[in-house]
Amino acid sequence: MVWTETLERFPYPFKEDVYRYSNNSVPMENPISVEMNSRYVEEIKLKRQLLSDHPERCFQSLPHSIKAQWEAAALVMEQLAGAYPETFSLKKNGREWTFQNKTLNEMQSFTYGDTASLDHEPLDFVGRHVQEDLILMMQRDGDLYLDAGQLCFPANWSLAFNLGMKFRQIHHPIPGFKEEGLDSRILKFLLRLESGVPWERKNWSLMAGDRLDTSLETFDEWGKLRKTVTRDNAGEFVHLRIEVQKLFRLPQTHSILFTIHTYVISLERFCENPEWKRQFYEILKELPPHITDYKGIGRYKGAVLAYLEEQL
Amino acid sequence: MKKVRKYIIIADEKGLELLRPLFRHSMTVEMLSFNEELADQLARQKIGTYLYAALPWQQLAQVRKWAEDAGFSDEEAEYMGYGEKEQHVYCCRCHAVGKDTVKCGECGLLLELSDHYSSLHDAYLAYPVL
Repeated sequence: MVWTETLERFPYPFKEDVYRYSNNSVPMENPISVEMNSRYVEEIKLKRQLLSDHPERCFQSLPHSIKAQWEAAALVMEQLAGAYPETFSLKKNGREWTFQNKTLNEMQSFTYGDTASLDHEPLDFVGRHVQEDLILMMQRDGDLYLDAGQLCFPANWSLAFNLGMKFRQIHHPIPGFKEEGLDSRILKFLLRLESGVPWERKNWSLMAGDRLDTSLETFDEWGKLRKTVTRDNAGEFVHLRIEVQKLFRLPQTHSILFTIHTYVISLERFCENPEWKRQFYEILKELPPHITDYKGIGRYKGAVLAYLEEQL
Repeated sequence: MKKVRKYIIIADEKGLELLRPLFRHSMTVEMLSFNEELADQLARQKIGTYLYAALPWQQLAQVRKWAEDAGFSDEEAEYMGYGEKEQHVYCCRCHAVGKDTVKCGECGLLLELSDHYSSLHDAYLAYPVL
């Protein structure tokens, strides 16, 4: 599912020549939780295959999340119908709703709030119509809990393991995150998120290979590929992985919908933009070990730098 | 009338020793013991009650679960364990929870134990050895 559209449309994640962890969220210009692009049909097919082959890996929920799941699903369906009327429609007659996906030629009628009227839980249902992964964080006792999620394209983490965790527990493995007080500051920011004012941020990493499904459950398969990166194959083989993450407050249940749209582009293609190439080279060269190690780049950073130097 | 916070203590003899430094004479304290009625007793407490539990790790995990089911939040409870702690390991590949920190007993994956803990699974995450 590698990027084949024009580079202008690629979500370039960097601002400065030095990268550090930060709360780099910005208010959204175009407030929509999900976006369709030319990879839609292909990625939905892959998502549904993963959901069918590995249901426990790709969808998890706690029983008390159902109401918030409905609220999240309603938001996504309404936004899809509003932003892409040629593809989606949502008709409401009281609690009797009909959602239509014309691209996939699918129509689903259901009773809003009645989970038995769907084949899947609400978040799992709506997630099968969008390219994004959908995470639901519920707020109580001054904290945020990961109480439901549909996750097919994780960047090396396990939804099944993280289910029910608090925000800071989830981020415990990130070196320096706690020590710099970032976990508490970002949590405070999220707890104050307001309905109607959504935020977004971009996250990035490098990967050896181009698979979208880099789940922790399959890390033993794809992680090994890091050993095979060389200066000569880096351009084709190494990919930048960008996550566009969006945050929406759901006012009725006071929970947060967190959507993740993952974009993958080969280093070679990325470097067609000379300014991106220059800036990424500076960032990577300067990147401290605690970040390279956590992002899993440590083993082949040298090969990528050598490749970039050759191109400059 | 001045409202007085109620404190509950669940502890055995050794646990009481651990808790002693935390207490003042002026506190309103009720002692409960670890038995089958405890879950119900916890569920009957009023909002605002504070819980101290000091027990062997395994009993403590059970008390914590009952207390959380009864609605005690982390701000309303303190848990102190002692003795041998059984460590559970969560295999990242097959999700099995076991005790072996080197190899998953279920799928055979060679494991590298981390300090990432899940209270839902009561286990530490183990990554594959690459």
